Amino acid sequence: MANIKKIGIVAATAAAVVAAFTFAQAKAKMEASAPAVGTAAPSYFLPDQDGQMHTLASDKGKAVLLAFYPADGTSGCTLEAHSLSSAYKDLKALGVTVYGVSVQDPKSHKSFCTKEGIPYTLLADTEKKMSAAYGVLIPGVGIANRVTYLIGADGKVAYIDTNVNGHLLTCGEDWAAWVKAHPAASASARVSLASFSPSASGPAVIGKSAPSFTLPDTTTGKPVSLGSLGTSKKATVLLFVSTRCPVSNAYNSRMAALAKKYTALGVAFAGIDANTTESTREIADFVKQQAFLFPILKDSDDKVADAYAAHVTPETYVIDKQGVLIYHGRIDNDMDPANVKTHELSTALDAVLAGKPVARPEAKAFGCSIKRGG
Amino acid sequence: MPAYAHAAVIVPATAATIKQAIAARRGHVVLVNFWATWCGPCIAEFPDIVRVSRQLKPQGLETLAVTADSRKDIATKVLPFIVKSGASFPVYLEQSADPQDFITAFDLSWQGDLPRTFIYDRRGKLVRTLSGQQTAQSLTAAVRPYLKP
Repeated sequence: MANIKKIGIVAATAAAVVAAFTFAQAKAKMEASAPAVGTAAPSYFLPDQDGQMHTLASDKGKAVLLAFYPADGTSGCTLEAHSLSSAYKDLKALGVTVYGVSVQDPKSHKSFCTKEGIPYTLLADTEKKMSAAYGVLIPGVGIANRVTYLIGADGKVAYIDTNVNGHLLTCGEDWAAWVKAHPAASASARVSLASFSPSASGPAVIGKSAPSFTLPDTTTGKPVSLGSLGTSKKATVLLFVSTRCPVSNAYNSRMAALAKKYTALGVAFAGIDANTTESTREIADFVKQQAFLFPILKDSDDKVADAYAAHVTPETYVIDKQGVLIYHGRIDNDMDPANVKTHELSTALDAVLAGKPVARPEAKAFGCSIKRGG
Repeated sequence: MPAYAHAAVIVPATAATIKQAIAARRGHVVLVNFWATWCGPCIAEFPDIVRVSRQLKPQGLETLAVTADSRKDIATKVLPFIVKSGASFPVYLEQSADPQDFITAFDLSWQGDLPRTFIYDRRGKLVRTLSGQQTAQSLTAAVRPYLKP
C-alpha cells in the first residue's frame, strides 16, 4: 500500500519534471526561432482543407499573409475569420495570398470553412513544425498563438502582428490597409494612394467595440487605420479637431502636452479633421505649426465623424487595447485654462493605464459644430 | 429709452434658471437660442434671430438667448455684440458648475455644438430642435405652426 503510494508520487514528480523541461525547451526554441522583420520567412509544406499542398516556394513572387490562430470554431478565431473573410477580396486584389494556419487537421478545417463561409485557405499544421518555425507555438499547450505574419514578394518577413487580439473585429481590413500603405511589400500590388478609399463602420457606443476606420494622414497621404494606430499600444486617443475653431484652438497647447505625456506612457494619439471647410494642406500646415507629435487624419466625407457621432471640436474618444470605447467627450471642463477644474480625458487615460474602469465615461462641453459636407 | 436697453444686462444662469424663464412664459411660444461670440455661425445667425423675434412677437413669440462665452469676455465681446445687434430679448450667460449638466438639461443627445435653437410650444413643451446656422426663413417656418393663427 505504502509502496504504491510512493510509486505514484515518483511518477507524478517525474511527469512534472518532464513538463517543466518541455516548457523551458519550447520557450527557448520559440524565442530563438521567431523570424524577425526583414529576415527570410521559414519555408512550409502543408495540406489545406481539401488536401492540396502549399509551399512557400510555390507562393514565391507573391505576398503571403499567414494568420496563425489557436483552434477552429472557437469564438476568437471565428471573429478573426469573419474579419479576414470580409477583407479577403481586398487582400486578393492587392496580390496577397491568404492562409489561416492552426494545428487542427484538414477535416476540422473543412468544416470550419463550410460553417463560417471562409473564402481563404486554411493550412493544417498537425505536426506543429510550421507553428514552431514561426515561433508561435504556445509552450506546453501545443497550439498556435494568434500572430499574423505578412511575407513580402521577396520571401522576407515584412510585418508581424502580435496583437491580433487587440483588433479581432477589424484585423482583416487593418492588414489590407497595411499592405496598401506598403505597396513595395507585394510585387503585384498595383495600389496607388489615389485609389485608397476612406472607410468607417459604426456606431460608437461606450463599452462596445469602437468603429474601425481608415483615413489618410494629412502630412504623408498614407492611410491610417484604427488598428494600425493601436497595435501594441495601451490605449488610443482620437481627437476631433479644427484648424479654425476658437475652442479647438484654445486646446492646441493642452492637446500637444497630453500627447507628449501619454505617448511616453504607451498611448497612441491621432487627430481627425472632419470639417469640409478645412483642406488637407491647411491641416498639414497646422500640424507643422503646432508641432503636434500625432498625425491629423482627413475625414473628407465625415464617415468617421458620423460613425463616432462626433459633433463638436474638440471632441475626444479613448479606446482601450481590446478596441473598446471607454471614454467620449471633452478634454476638460473649460476652454479657458483659468477655469479648468476637472480633466476628464487625462483622468480616463490614468484609469485605463492603471487597469481601472473609467469613472466618468462621458462628459460634454460647448464647442464649434463640425462643418459637415452636403 | 433705446431698444437695446433690456438686453444690455446679461444674467448669469444655470439650466434651472433658463427652464424657469421658459415656464414663466407659458401661453407663449418660446425660442431659446444658444450661441457664443467665438462661434462663427452663431454670429452670422444672430441678426436673423433678432429679426424673427421682432416680427413674430405680436403673434406670441418670446425669445431668450443663452451665451456660452467666458465670463471674462462679457464686457469686451458679448455686451458690445448684443448692443450692436439691436436685440431686445433677455440674454443669459451659462454659468453652471459643469457644462454637461447644462447641455443635457436641454437635450440628452446634444453634444454641445453651437448654435442650437430650441422651440417650446405654448404649454411649455419642447417641440423643435434646430442644429447649426438657421435663416430668418427656417426659423419662421419652425415657429409658425405653434403660433396663434
